[in-house]
Amino acid sequence: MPRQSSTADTAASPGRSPIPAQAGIGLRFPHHRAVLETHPEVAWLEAHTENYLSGDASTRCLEAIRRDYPLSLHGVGLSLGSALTLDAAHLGRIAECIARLEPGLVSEHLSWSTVDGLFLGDLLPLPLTEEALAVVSRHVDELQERLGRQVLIENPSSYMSYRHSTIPEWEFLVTLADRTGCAILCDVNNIYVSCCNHGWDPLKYLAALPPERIGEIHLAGHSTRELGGGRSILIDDHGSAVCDAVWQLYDAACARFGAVPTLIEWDTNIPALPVLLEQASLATEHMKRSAPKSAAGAQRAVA
Amino acid sequence: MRLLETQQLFAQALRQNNAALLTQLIDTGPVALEERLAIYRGTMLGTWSRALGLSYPAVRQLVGDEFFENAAQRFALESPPGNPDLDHYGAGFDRFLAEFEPASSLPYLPDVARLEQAVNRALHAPRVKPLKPERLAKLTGEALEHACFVPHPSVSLLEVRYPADQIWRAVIEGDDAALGAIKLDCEPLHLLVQRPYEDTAVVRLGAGAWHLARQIFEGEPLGEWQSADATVDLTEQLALHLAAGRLVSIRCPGLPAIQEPECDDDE
Repeated sequence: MPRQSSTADTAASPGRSPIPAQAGIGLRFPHHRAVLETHPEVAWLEAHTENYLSGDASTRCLEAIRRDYPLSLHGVGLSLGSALTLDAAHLGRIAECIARLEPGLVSEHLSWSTVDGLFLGDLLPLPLTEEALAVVSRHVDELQERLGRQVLIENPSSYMSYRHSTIPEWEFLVTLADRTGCAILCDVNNIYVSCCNHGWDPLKYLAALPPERIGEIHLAGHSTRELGGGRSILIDDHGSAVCDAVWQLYDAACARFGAVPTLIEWDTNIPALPVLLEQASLATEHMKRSAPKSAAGAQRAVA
Repeated sequence: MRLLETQQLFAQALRQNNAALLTQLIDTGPVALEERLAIYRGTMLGTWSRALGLSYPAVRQLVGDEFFENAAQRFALESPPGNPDLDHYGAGFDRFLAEFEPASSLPYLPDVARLEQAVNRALHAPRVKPLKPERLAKLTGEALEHACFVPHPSVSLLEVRYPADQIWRAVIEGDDAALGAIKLDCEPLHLLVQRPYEDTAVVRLGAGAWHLARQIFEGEPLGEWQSADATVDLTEQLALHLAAGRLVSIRCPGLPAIQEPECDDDE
């Protein structure tokens, strides 16, 4: 059983339990009650940090759930790619939330969301330049220093690329990890979406990522927006099951990276809990089939 | 182009829905810049209006999802969030609704929005232990006269023209019969919202008690409290607020603050 056994002393802090190299699911509000009451069998859970910043009922609920499952916290608002400074107040709230919930993994995105005191509500694309690399590196350093731990940075899905970008996205990520010591959260669906939208080769993307840097994998569904005239663009809407092409790419990722904690994300048209658990079981099957058996992950530079 | 300038331009293009601002910056190919920008703008507006929908569930139900989304997006474009902590986003939505012509047939809507703003504030207030009533016994004479009280961070006072509390409760509870029975023509109401413990409470106060409560919660020294209403007893009202967990600390000049030890999570 992947689940932690609860101790007799329930008042004791659950501590930071590591995220196992198995499949977990993204925990969203509609499933709080079902998870608390039915204790589904799943190896670990991931929640969005920004949803648990205050002492409200949801936070209390997550604190209760957290006693039974390894938890990962995934940030969606820190805006590591903002040209100026990080939002100190927000960083403080995040640090407090992380200290309270003691997650096994902490992650954020290679993107930006805030400029001139305005939160734009999306993970926006960065120009991939030396300047941006220096900015993101500085902010990841600051985040890791503030939290006193390693974080994982996720590759984005994107619908635009800048003319003045000079560094391929995979190279940007790897250099960021080298400079800051952060790990990489490899979102296989994002690689698929971005590669289709920009004409990149997803296998080449995977091949550029060093296995020892990969601390987590994300899987999700995307949709195709038809634009007329036979044109289309893929939208990373996390609103459906993982598609065959992404499962295939996940097999390639497992073959390259070994067994890695893998998350099923589903954020729009959220289905009943069993559907998510079924997707997690599928991920486990793929991982078992595709990851090399020999000492997978032993060399990982991930805390 | 420098990163800051790029981001400022991107933000402007998003808010004004003006893809032409990015022509020099972005590669296009078969998918036009407008189509690419529309994806990001859709997510931005969706994030903003969803956040407002979570903070204003009764307003949303009263006007319907489509109407709400339209109103929320217009409000958000005028008053976008300043940071990613969206639990506290949406101040001023009541004033926006009061001026929003399509909502003019629902004159009580801004009052319901004001109440929901207070309820939302209570829901997301930090955990602070209410002051135990017996702490007051430590103070006598002059110290008591100069004592100022700090309200629990979940507490709000509001004055509304319509019975927003009845409307809010009926909508949240899905009680159509109660909603239908509400009489809109009533005297202005004086409400108090609080959540010192688990549940959020919305209570009606008399006008005199409400005006006194405002003096107490705004931190006026005890010796200066006044009530125009002779039936309002200052000591009794203070005891009521303490018993209900609405106060968290007493400040007296020259003395350390009187408050309960920090919240631990084991209670």
